[in-house]
Amino acid sequence: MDEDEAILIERAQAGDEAALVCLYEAHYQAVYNYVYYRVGEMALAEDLTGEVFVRLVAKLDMFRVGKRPLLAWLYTIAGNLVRDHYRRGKRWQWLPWTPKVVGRWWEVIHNDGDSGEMVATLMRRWTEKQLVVAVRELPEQQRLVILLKFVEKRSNAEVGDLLGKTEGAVKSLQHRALARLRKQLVKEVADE
Amino acid sequence: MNEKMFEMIVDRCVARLAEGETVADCVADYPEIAERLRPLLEVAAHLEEMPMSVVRREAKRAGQARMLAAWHRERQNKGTGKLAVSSVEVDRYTERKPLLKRLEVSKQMNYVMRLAGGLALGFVIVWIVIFGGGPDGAILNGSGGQETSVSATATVGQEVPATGTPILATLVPPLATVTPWNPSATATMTSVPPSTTMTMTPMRPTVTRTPFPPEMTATATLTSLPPPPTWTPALPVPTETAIPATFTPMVPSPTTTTQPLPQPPTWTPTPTMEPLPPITPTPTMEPLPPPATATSTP
Repeated sequence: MDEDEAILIERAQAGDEAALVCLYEAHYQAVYNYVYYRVGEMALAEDLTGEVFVRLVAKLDMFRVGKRPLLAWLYTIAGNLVRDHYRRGKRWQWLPWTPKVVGRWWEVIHNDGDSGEMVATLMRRWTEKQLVVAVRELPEQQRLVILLKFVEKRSNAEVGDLLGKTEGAVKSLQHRALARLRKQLVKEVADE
Repeated sequence: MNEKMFEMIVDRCVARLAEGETVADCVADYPEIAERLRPLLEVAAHLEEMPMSVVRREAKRAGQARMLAAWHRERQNKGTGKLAVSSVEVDRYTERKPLLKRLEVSKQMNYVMRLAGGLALGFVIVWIVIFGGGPDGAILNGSGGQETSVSATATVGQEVPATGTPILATLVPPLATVTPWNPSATATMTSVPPSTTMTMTPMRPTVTRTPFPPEMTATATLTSLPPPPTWTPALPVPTETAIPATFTPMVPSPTTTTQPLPQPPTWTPTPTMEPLPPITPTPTMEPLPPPATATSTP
């Protein structure tokens, strides 16, 4: 956490509205990205992101400056909100295990998906929506690493600071996330 | 190559992709792991090219307004000094003092109740000891002018106090002396009609009076006592009667020859041997040597 943010938080806690707006401006995009890559719907992501900041206001006095970054705290609030949202909605999706889908799976597996050409072919067919779906399927820590590194362009040190992990752990999470995304990619294409 | 090293290479290649290099450039530097590296870098490159999700300006503004509204609500609550707790909590807190007072009152009441209970218990004990309930008390059967009898329990020679019963309270003296004791003893009260009798049963006598006006004054005196009862055994004793006896000849028992038992050997005491007198050695006399013959030598 940089000094400016610490000052802003303390001023907001003291009742400075402008400081609170500055914090909102600084973190809205990151929180929105996190929520968007969890829910995959723009309107819902906007609604939940707004709710995250409402909760921030309600609990701002409880936040202790210097313990952990404010963004990490916002991610925690956002994660809880998304979880509550899905718990209420009970959204379950069943894979359509039709013979057609199974046949495509068989084809993809036996065509050696590891070849660069195959991956490139799949990549071309991989749309942004599919990427969001694939990222959404990742475990929490891996998803955050992908978001922070590839979407928000943060360094390993910053990601480690936000997640409370070492840079080595961040590299490991990144490797596992990429491998998983690739498997997800193959699956997505086979399901088409 | 171990896993840590591979992770480091992937991370280095991701950084190069972010700087604008291509997947082919990165893979060319690591030909020995190219097959393993390429798919991951392809995904990473695709992620790098992905645009950041677009935030709609109006949505962001609406979110800010929502946050500020909540902010002002919070500040307003703080300004009025209202605690961030529910009203139920506050009510519960304000009830504490009266509750404590009630507890103090209840302590005093507890002491008073204990004292009163002790006094009541003592009173009941005294009442039972003085006014009946014990073995000596006379108990009135019936009530409200419809009294039919008076019962009392006593042992031989014991006086039955009649003060515990409304009827016998006016007796002069207010005692019914029961002595000597007899199961069929009848006590006649002098100033009551002749039909008034006092019947006593052994050890648990019952004083019976029919009729017995409540306001009557009477003195009970045992006048005639029947003789003491004679003892009668509980079971009749059979008298002696001649029982004709019929004897049947006994079956002769088989004859048995009895052999005379051999006479036990007579005990003959063994003759006692007189102990020999102790042998006293006889003194032996050494034969004297023959007298020496004197030889004279010339």
